[in-house]
Amino acid sequence: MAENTANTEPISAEDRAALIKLIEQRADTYGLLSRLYRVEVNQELLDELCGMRFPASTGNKNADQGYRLMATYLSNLWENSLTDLAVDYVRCFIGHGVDAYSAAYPFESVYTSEKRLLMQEARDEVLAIYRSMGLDKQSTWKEGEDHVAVELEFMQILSSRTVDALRSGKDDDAFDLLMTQKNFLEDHLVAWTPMMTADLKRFAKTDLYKGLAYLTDGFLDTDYEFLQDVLTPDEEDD
Amino acid sequence: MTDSRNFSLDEFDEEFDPLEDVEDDLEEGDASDLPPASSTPEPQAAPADGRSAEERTADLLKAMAPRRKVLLGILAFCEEPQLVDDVNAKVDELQAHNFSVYTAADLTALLERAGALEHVTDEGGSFEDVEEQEPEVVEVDGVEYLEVKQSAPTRWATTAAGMAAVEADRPLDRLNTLFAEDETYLPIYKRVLTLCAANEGATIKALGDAVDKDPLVQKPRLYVAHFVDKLEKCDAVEWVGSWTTTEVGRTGLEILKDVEDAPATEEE
Repeated sequence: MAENTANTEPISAEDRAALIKLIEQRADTYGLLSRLYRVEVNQELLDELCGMRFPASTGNKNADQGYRLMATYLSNLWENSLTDLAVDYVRCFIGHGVDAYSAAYPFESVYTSEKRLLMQEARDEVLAIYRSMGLDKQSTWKEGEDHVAVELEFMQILSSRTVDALRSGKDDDAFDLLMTQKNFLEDHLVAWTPMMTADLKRFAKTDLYKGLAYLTDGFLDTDYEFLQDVLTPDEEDD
Repeated sequence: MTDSRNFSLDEFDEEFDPLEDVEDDLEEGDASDLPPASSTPEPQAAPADGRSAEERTADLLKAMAPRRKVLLGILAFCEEPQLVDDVNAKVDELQAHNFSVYTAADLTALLERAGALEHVTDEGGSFEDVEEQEPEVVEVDGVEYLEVKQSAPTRWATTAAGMAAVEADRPLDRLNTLFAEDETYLPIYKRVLTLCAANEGATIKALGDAVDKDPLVQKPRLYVAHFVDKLEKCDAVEWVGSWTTTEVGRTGLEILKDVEDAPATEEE
């Protein structure tokens, strides 16, 4: 974990508003990704996705590919697409084999333990981090805490807290929260999800889930770069 | 976009030092030393199916005997191409009194895979030949976005193999065969069909009261459910909240009009 060093430089009102907007968008994207991984798409989410505008050119090749695949899939829906997506979700994330290589298992432990087992050290680590931020899983959540949906949701919650801190003028708190997010990305999400998304690209039959794999890669890379950038003091300020 | 009501994470107020036990081990979760994801084997492609559409359809109807009537109902309904939404509603209607874990989407997908149904456009062309629709590019405040385009409605159409299956289904022939093979029990069949022909149909209890004490079913011991099941397989009776005689069953009653049936009385 990196040492927390608060940036004492005051932020202008204009920069603050822009930063808040950007972090809100990050929270939204983390929320969307988390929801897509958590359970199958339902009609409510499908309607929501169809009403969205997807960025055409983010500057990240993977994110652009992901958004395009998803928007194209959604532009070619038919009446029973929800069933197609439910079948694909099971194929992608649950699979039908017992060899631990039959799906893109959405758990960090699977990709970071030698025997691809659930509930390994990665789960203990992320659980400890959640608790350090005053969070614990809901009783309704029956999967491990290292499920990608939970890790992404953790980032969403911290992003929302960062927005609150910036709005309240608690810049040191905001800095700490951003630092925690950067460390979490570095130690967890960015470290293991590329292996899962590589599997997801091969198991997915629908472009929605293929797009999700590309978008996850692209967005996490972009976000990690953003956090590195925002947490590094400008040379001119030194 | 986000749904904060469904957080998997709850606020946790207790004081807790989370890294107390794991700080020394944090590096162990680093995935950088692991083999690349390419170690995951490629998904296996399904082996080619050498059966004809007629054979696949016949096998499907045999394998899904409890859903046979619904499957054939779909095929008959789609003799003229029908909107997918209308087919889904039709399946719900066909299964209204016969709950199944198979939804309309599942059943139509099975029929399509068997070659009995074809997914077509509203104009009747094959859905597979439809060119993929690209999302619309719109510009908002100088930034380009992709907007989802609305898709056109599609239809299901029964193929020649599907129609052949519908035409090959002759419930009256099956009923005649049943009557010929089960001649001993013709009075029982007549009694069941007669009771179920009442306006309100008949409950299994009422049918049991009328049949289960009959000397004909004592040796070997048979119960009314056995006869109802056989009649149902011939589409002669159906469950619509009560057991009811169908048109096929009414024709069966005509066939049995000369069969003498004297139900056993309570005293007997």
